[in-house]
Amino acid sequence: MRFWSISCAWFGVAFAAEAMGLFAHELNAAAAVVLLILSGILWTGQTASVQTVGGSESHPAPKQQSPSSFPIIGLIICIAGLLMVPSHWTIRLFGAALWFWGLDIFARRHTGHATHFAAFAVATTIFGTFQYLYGNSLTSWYFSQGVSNVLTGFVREGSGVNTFGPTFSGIGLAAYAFLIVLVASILPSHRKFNQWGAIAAVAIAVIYALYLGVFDKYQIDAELLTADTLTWQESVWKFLHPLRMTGMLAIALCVPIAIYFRAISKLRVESSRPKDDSRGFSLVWFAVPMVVVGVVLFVNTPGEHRAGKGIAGVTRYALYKEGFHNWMTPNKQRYGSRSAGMFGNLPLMLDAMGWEGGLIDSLDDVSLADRDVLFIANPKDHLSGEQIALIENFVEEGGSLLMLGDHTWRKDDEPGGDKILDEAIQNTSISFNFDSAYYYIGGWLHSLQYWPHATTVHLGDATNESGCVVGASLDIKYPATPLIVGRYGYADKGVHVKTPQRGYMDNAAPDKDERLGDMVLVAAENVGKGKVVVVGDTSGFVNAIQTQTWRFTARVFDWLASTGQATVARWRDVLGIILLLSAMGLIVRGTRNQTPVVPVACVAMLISGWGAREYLADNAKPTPLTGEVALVDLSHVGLHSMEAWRDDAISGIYLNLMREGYFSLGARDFDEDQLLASKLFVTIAPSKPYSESEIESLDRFMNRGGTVLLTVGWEEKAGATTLLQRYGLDVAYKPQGRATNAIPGTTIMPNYWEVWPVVSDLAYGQAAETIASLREDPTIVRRPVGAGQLVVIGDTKIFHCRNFETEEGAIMPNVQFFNWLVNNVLKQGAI
Amino acid sequence: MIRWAAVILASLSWMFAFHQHIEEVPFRQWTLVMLAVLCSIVGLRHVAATMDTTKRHRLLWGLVPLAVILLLALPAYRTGPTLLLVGVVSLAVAGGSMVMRSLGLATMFVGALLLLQSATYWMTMGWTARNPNVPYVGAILYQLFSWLGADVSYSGGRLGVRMMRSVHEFPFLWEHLAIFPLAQIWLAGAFVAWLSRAKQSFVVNVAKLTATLGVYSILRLFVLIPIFITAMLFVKHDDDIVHVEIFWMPWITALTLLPLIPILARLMPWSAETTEWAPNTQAWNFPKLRTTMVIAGSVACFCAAVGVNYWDPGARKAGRVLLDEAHSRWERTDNPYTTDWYGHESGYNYYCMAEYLKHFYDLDVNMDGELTADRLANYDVLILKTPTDQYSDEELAAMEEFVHNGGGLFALGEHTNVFGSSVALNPITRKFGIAFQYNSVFDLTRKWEQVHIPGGNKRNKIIPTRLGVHPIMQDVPFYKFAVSCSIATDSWKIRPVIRSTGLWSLPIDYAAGNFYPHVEDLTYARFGAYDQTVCTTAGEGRVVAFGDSTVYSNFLAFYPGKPEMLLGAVEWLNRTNSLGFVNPVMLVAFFVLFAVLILASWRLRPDLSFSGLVIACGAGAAWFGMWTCAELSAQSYALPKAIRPVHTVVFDMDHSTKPAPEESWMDAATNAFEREFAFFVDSGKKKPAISPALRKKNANWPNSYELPLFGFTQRYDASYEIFYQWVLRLGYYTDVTFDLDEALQRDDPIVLLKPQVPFGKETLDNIRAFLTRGGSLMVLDAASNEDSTASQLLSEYDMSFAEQPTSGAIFVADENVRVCDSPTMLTVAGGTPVFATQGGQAVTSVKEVGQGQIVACGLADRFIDTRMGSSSRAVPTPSIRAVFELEFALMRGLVEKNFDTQMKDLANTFMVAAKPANKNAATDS
Repeated sequence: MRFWSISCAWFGVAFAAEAMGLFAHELNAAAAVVLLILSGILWTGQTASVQTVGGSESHPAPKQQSPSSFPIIGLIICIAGLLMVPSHWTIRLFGAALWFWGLDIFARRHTGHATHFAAFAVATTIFGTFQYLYGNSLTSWYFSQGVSNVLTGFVREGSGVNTFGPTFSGIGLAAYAFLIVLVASILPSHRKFNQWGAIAAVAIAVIYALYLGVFDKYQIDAELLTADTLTWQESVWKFLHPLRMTGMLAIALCVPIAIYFRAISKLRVESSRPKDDSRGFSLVWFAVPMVVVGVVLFVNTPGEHRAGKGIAGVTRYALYKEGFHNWMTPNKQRYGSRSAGMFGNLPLMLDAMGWEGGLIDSLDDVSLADRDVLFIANPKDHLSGEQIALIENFVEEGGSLLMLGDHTWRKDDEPGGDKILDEAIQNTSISFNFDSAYYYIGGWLHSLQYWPHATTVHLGDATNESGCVVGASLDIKYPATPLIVGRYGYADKGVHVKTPQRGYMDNAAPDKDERLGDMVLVAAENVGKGKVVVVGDTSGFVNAIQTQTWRFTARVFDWLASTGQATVARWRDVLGIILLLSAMGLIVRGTRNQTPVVPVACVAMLISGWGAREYLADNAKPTPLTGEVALVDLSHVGLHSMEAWRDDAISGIYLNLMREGYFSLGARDFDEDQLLASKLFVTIAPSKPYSESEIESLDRFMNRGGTVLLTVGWEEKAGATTLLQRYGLDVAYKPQGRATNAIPGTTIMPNYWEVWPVVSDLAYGQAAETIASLREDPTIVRRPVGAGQLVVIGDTKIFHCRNFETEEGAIMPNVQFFNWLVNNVLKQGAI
Repeated sequence: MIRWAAVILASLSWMFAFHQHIEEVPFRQWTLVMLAVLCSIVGLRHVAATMDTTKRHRLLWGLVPLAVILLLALPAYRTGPTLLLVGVVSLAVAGGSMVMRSLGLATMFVGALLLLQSATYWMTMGWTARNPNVPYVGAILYQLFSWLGADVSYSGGRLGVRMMRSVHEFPFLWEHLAIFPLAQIWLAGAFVAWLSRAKQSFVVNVAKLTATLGVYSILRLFVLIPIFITAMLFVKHDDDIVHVEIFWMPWITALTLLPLIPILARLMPWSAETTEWAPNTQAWNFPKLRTTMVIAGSVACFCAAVGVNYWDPGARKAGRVLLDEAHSRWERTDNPYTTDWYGHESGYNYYCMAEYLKHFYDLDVNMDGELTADRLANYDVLILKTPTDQYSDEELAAMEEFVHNGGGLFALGEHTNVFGSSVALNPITRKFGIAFQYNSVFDLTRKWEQVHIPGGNKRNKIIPTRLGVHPIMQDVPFYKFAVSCSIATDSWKIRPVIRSTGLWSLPIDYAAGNFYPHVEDLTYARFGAYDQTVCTTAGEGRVVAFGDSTVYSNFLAFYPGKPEMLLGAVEWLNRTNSLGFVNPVMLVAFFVLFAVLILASWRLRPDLSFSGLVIACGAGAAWFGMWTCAELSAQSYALPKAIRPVHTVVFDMDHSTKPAPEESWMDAATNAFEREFAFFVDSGKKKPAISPALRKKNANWPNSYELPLFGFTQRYDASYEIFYQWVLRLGYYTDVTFDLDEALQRDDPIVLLKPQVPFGKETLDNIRAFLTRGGSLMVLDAASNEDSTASQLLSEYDMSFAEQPTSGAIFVADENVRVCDSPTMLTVAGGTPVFATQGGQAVTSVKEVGQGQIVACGLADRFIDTRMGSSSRAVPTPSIRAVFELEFALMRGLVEKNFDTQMKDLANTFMVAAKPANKNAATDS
């Protein structure tokens, strides 16, 4: 039973640390929670101890507390730890450590001896500290990259960048395994323990070496698979998919760990030293401040908005017009995916942020003289020396540069053409790789690591909030900060001879000389008095995608115009590392003395780590965008696809709102400040009911003149019921199917996909105004609310792509209907 | 832990014993059972060493009920009694042998466990078919996933999980919780706790067990949904794959339940109690208490079986049937299905069904006018088929009264409320607690090819598979649906006629003209068991509701199972109720006796061996009860005899089907793995097609020709669907036999199409006897039938097919009339030519044998679907019509034994002057 308990504990931490390969991250926590619970259940009732820290049968351990109090304390600690496991990945391991410590307290109830969970608690705390450092300390991040490069460089062809990143190197798991054995072996001073520990350590080293060897050997070049690959080779290759490899390493490493504890479980050792309470508690007093101060040192304050060069300190921006792109916005001449244009909405967004400026045709003294932020994307031509010097000077003197590139970007086939993207950022520690950073999961879903920074603090990666797709990876050196790192992917090197089909792109498959995992996709750096942000892919900034990535793009611009730093000063970074590592030393020491330094330190880490993120999140909130802003609600899990141009996607809504003069944005959060700064709020078949407070916010919004447009059919109305009921409306069961009918008094003929009557509850006061009806049943109604209104269409799918605007074109009757709806209904309520 | 492993492996084995979600796989079932036995041997070895078997011959009492079970039980249920039998015998002869003792103890333990679990499948399927949704689970999971920070929603009883591609909505079903294996584990765990001597520990342990399984089932979903989400991340952009199989594939379910082994071992240790319940025959002194237990248990189980399986034979009525046409514009009966009417509506038409019923009952059709009480009073059974117009309140009241007064109501609905059929039917059926659902039901693995097999897949010629089968279905060998709706019921008084498992359903698509949804895997699709036909009684009358009207369309109505079910339903409805009290009385008796059993055993706490005896007696009594009911139904509800002559042409599949080749275990394992772990092997790929054994029977290479019996025909160049169906245009009916010897006992004409299995001597004798007494047999063959055995049969009558094919025009022999061309055909030697080539070589000949005739026809390839217009619903061109006429003449000649007349009529139809050059050539040879 102990074997299974230890295995569950091991895998619980492996999942919590997201070290098991891709297993969508918040869902990693689900597995972690269940496995941790299992580890506890399987242990329940187990009386035999693994290690005797405090004594043996002949030398019973002194009781610190009355036995009856153990279970309650243990239970409280367990629950507290478990509740913290789903928190941010950089701190959740401390929750796991608390869980183990709580379990250990249960064990002491019977014998007074610590169990194997004590070792797990200490090792997990130390591992969690490393994980925290990896996610928060720039020095540690670079150190981890270096260690991975060195270790995996032994097995990979070519050293340096053609290696595994830490994600695939499995170094975290191996380190954790070593830590467990190490901690378990050093806590009691007993030779046999150390013998078993040595055996386990060797086994871990062998397994890890095997892992690297197998990983490298079976990453067959993609081209080989297309030619004479044998079936079994293909099967092996598929089975040994990189996303599964670390999981297999975890399974393999679990064996020596579990066997190790099994082997030593029967050993009873005498305490080599008496417990020293006074020293133990003094350790706690030392450890907690160390942890808290250490964490605080890593907190990078977002900074203040600094005075710009415009009147009254308004920030002025310059968007360099030249490059392989356009500045179009959607218009009514073209429809479909190619009608969206590229960067045309950027000036609109910056204006909505309250900035001034515009496009500049050339890079010269005059054009940059009164600007604070410069934007350059995908240059077509080389910059002259003067221009490069000008940009460098601009940044050195306090200007900010946002440089966007793309995959395999080069100027024709000429020598040095692949360096064209680097010309404007020569004075930084960042450069573009001539490659394509590919994901294993489309859109880097569940595959990104965000640096704790003002630009990324709100981002998740379940639905590609940063907009990174296939772009170039970045080569960065300290002190450049990796804002976004693509963990589960590979760098597909570019080819230097253009092909008609793929341009300079290679085979879109990982080859042996290509880096696996942890590619930097976005980086930032302070240069002189200024700042630079480099983005390897333009996708997130183009009109169509920015509707869902604007929280990131707006924050990037916001940060560029602020006093914030790319990362904390190096002295803080190093001091923070020293403090946390020292605290870990105290933890080990304290554990040997049976003092509760582990739970106290874990709680301190959890609280301070959580507080640090909250502080950053609260202080990095950008100013709401104002103007003709239309919010499309994404926060209530509307029943539509978020992928562009799928049949049930809503890409057409965004583009047609733009065509009607709105700046359309997908609202991933229900933010009242942003809502009140907007004109229109569109919600499509929400499946998550609006809360009372949210309805109050919407009510305030409408009372101030805002318009809420809700499209929902009878089958999907459950999530919209609270909102509908508030305004005396309902969607009735009377299927009308696909139908069309003219809006009264017009020639507008909306094509309904699956329409239902929208009925009014007369108890509300009066019937809602009917905008359109079908067979005498109202299908579109308007309910005035203060100066604004609620408009309801009884058809969930009327504005889904297949019924509105498809990738190839438009369903014109519905485009005309939308145009009519906006100008004759929706804008009537606007201020 | 090893003992719990035995318990759980044995419990999981049931998932492979039935067509719960995928077809049953006995090999896997037995593998798990054997593993359970092995675990038991290891886990109980110390008990074997200590147990007392002094009076071990007493164990042999158990052989009596076991013999009854093994004789009567369906194959899936024989595992337990078989093991118990082995256990009894092993212990009885064990003596001091530890091997035999261990084996006996282990098999007795696992066998008793399995025998105890026998009824769970029936109960869980019954529960989930009627109450699919499980409360609270969705809300709990919503809270858990919200806690994780996942983008989720909960409304309308569905948990929505946002992914980039779409929102996956989960309506939580008992099936999601793996209710069937969990119920088995619970029962097994309770049994283990029961065997414990300490009475108070039973309650505590069962409470622990229940709580553990409840919490675990939710935590399992808490992990399973993330696994689903992760698998979905790998689906390629353009692939419409939703890995819903994660929630129902048996192996996945089994794997996710394995952690219960250590968990239960930790929470419910029973090592200390094991020795207490070990077999102890020394204590078998049969005091009153033990006798009471055996009798009470046996009678209780018998009562339960009868209470559930007894069908009141009632009093047969006159068989006056009224079919309502006045409210239906779909599947009409008023346009004769003849040789002149083709097209879509000729297929979607109930003419043949109505005509067929007229051979057995006095059937009238209500073409117009209301269904008044006066009018209905003249009839015994009313058939409402796919109404498209709603019934008035007066009609509804009249029909309700009709039923209460002893009438039989047969309501035929259809999937997706198509043409408003459910809207029209539900007002009347709801009066009896029945509602046609607005959905469409599919097979989990085969989608449109759902086949229901009454009594389970493994039919047994010795023991009737009527056990547990409704009288309506007792003569149905199998039943292929054409997509039905499900039927909801609101009372336990309503009983299933067809309750199928391994299904899933989609709600209707209101945007589609016929409400038919796009058939794709969706997380909110309900899966599990469904009622597709139900029945009930009300007052003196009866009601049957059936959810798939399409199967009685002309193009499907006369495949095996369809006519039997139709006649069975009308026959069941053609009764008034008389002994309806039997069921409730028996069920009450069961509960009383079961309480007695529990009380008695609570005092006694019997050991494993005596518990096994009680369980065996109970199970034996239950099977005996079921058998008794089945025999009563067989007697009471025999299919009606025709009151007007019926001509049925029987197509033989017995000699067209070679035994399928054995699949190597490696291939089988590999295929199974790829099927069931598709999301793991390569999630981005299309899911591998699942090829159940039924498909193999029908579609794979061993068949020399195909009919849509178990699914769609797979090879159009071997399909005879149109040829088969066109027989109905002549006023004859069709049937298929899988046992030629059985068919030869009847008097119906038989078609041997492309035979490729050798005829045994007995069969050849039967054929001669059949022909001698007046039977008519046609052997249709073609050059494409490379392994033909036709000549083996024909040589008995001095006839044969040529080895090499020929081609060209087909002429009516003895006439100068060309009918059509054939690209390939076989010439025939012997007999009297019926059709011949232009050169005068016979391609069809007939020979009289006794009072009968044998026809050899080398035109089989002329009649494959691709040469018959490809679709039975297409309007034929003149050249295709000519082929049809050829078939009509052949079939008329076969049935009426008047080829002379038929050829003359055919010649008159095709008056083309082109006399064969040498018309006597065939005869001369």
